Amino acid sequence: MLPKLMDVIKDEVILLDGAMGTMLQRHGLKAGDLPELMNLTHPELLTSIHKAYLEAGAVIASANTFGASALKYPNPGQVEEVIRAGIGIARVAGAPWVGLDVGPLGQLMEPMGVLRFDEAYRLFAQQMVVGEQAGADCVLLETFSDLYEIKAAVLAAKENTSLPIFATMTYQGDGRTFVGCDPITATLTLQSLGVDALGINCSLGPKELMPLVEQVVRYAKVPVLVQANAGLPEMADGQAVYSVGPEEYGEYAVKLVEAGVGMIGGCCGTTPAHIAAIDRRIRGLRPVKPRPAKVTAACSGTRTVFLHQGVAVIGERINPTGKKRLKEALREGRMEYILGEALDQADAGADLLDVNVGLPELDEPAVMARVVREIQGVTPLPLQIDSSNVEALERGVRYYNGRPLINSVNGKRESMAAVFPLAKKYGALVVGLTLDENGIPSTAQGRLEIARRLLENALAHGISKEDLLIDPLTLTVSAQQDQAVETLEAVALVKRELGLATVLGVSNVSFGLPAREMINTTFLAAALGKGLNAPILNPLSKRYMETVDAFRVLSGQDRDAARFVERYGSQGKEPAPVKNMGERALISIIIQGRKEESAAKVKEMLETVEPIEIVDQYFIPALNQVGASYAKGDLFLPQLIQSAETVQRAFEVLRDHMERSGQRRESRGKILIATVEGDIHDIGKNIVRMVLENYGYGVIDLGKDVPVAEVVEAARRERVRLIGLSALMTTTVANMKRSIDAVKAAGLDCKFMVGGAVLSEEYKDLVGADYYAKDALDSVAIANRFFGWPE
Amino acid sequence: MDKGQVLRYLGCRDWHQAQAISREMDRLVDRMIAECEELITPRYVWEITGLTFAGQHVEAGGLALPGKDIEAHLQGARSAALLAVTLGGEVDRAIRCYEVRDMTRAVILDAAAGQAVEEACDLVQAEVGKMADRDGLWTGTRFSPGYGDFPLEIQPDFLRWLDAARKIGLACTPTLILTPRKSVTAVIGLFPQPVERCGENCMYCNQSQDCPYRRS
Repeated sequence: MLPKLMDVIKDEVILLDGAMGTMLQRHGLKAGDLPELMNLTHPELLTSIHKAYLEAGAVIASANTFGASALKYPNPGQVEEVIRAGIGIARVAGAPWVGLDVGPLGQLMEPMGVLRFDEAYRLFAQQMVVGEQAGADCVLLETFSDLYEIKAAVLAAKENTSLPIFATMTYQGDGRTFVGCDPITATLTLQSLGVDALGINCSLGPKELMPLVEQVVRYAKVPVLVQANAGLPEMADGQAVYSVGPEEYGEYAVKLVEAGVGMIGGCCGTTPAHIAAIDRRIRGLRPVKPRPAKVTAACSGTRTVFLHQGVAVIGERINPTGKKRLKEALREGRMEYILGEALDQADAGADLLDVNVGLPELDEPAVMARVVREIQGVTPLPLQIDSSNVEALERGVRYYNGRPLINSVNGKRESMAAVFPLAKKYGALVVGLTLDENGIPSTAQGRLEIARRLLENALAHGISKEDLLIDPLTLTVSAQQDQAVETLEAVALVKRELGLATVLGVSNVSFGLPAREMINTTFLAAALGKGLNAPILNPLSKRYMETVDAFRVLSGQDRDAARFVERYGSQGKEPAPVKNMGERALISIIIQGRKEESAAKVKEMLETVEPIEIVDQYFIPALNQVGASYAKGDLFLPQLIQSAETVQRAFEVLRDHMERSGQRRESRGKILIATVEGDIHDIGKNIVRMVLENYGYGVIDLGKDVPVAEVVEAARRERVRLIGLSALMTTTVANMKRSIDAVKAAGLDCKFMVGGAVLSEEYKDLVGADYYAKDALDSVAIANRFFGWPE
Repeated sequence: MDKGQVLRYLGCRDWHQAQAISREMDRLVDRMIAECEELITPRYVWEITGLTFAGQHVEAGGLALPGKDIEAHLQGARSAALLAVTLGGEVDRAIRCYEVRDMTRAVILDAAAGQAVEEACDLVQAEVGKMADRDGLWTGTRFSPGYGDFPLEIQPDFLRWLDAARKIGLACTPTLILTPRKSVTAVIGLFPQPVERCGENCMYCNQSQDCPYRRS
């Protein structure tokens, strides 16, 4: 009997096979044909290809199952049939080990496309289950570009089979995948998810891949797998010709193995002759033992942030505690507000973002999943999933793209038993709070002891030391004045005694005192001095960021003070103060679209004018005038938008004001809007939302690609009477009709206005809508008529 | 990048209107065009293949190209180039970010990216033209799925024929939207003599009656 594959990998360099597609094309596979169908139509051809590679020395045969998902094989039973045949052929050809080959699904994941994580998972799981049943010995995930998609595939394999997983990504000449993932980010994320080997395949030749391979090897704890193309393809008479011959490829193979590669094969353009040449060259070579750099690293889908050296700022603003506006946005599902908070913090210099959506009245796990997905669609910063609800934590880390932090676990038995397995399974870093069943120890030494227990427990769960961070907890200095120094001392102790990275929220320390920023900033500086790695703070506070930036210079993290000079070198010029021009000026500010000025102006006006008057006597007349000019052709689109944004910013001030003074916000009427299922054209709908809000309407925006059922559910929940739907394609107008029909079938008394590039009066009737809005201003006119407001 | 064209996408109808744009707005358009150029990573793939006119529709290298309009467009062509171009996903993400915080910029960047993908197509067309020239052929204009009765439904097969997902990271949704968003697929006929077909793209468009972008 053969030894177990994973045992062999430890001691030997493993040789995989070469290209399948290239071989099939030589034997008549035409462009656009589904290669896996040949498992059924030409089994003898596939057998001979496998045999040729096996004779050349390959020990793992990749079955011809790369694209065998239900997306390409939609007929019932077809996926099973094709995969079973593919695995069977490789087995019959005499392969010592057979790999279930699994490639990307061929559609882009959300937010770039519409393929949802759960759907990708479901499609992959089907392939994995069939593959294992058919007798595959391992899963070969290859040619992936999107870390999110390969994460779905890894989870599908891990949760549904017991097969070893080998995962490779494909990089372009710029060292990144099509969607921007780099080799370090992929390596750190994939190995934390528990794959058994990882690496690079396709796209480039062995020479071009070498620098990327070196990056992978530097961080890989598991064997590194490389399947390069036979050089870069050159077109000759319409055919791709690969320039690296077998002998040359063999020479590179030796270099790759010496660099730390433990599994090697070929991709496009390689042939059995290439594999035979590798075999001759590497025979007898032993794999280099991995010596990965020990790092504490969080990743998004496209970026890695190291937390073990220097300072990394975690932005704290996406947390509803004490934030009325955020609470309201979470309750109303106003994602744009939350995304705005994310982007503002990123601009202000945050390195990671904390995400906490805990409100008692919300379905926290569901909201966490949505918010995580939305935020990672706009920012490349890694996220810290923050909740005391274990289910919310799990949903957050599951739908996260990359390697998140979990905030948090603590020294209580129950907490460790619940949170550490999650961190392990999803490959997350985890922040441990130094408190336990007896509360927070009052001494630094006491907190160190809890940190020690957390570390022991983490290790017992199979979590690496580098992946645990400790938060020694900031207490309020006005209530417990002796505790600030204990916290600071604990930072130093944890670092010195345990060698763990530390996290600390700084804002609480000043609670109950005046001039809180002054206390916080000093505390921050002191904590950084003790070796704090990741302060959790409000990056929009200039003082905090200045302190961090200055510390980075003093500690040597900011080499040659380059970043500091870039940021502060040209300081000194204050922006000119806004001139006070009387109240008429607001109208001209809006008409001219001077959006930087409107908020200040309205703030000033609120001292003497009621909010409702500002809306009725300034916003609306100004907007009407802008609308008329636009209709006449005197203004063009960006100018109209700029005026709308000018009002939008002023509206923010009104909202704050009304909240503070306890006034209820009266809207002109509530309108639900959505871009329909299957459609991802969002910009038009977002303009409509802004303009409707400008006129005082309350808009509930469900976003884009909104499933029909979600429209119905929201219409019912929100008791709206007017719904706006957007679609841009003839292909998605059908879903507009389905949405309208479903709302009507649910017995809800709603009217519909529809818009989008292909819509027309005619289409409006066709889909069963009531109004056609040709542009954003038209949607306001419709809403005014509907709710009975003057034009 | 042709700024006039970007302004046109933004609804700037004529020279007079362009003159009326404020200096700040004009500068903003320039800035967003520059930003667009930073954000895009144009990738493309094309292949020339023979055409068969027999039967119900034109066939290009085994790929059926249904519809009367594409057949008319390729009438007389010796062969055709199938092409796919994408600017990559980064510009999509940037537009999404601006939609959250600065809709004016979002709208301008969106228009600039629309123009950028057209210009990327022009470059590919020139490359195809060079190849055609070698064989003594002339290229016609680009014709994309969705023009006239050339159905969008061909998109998945078209992309698969070019192996576009693997080669340039271009895919389409089940509702036939190309992703990344700023992408184009098209067919270019290669003819034994020069072709004069001005303004035909507008002629084939079913939205042309009241389209603000129509070429005369």
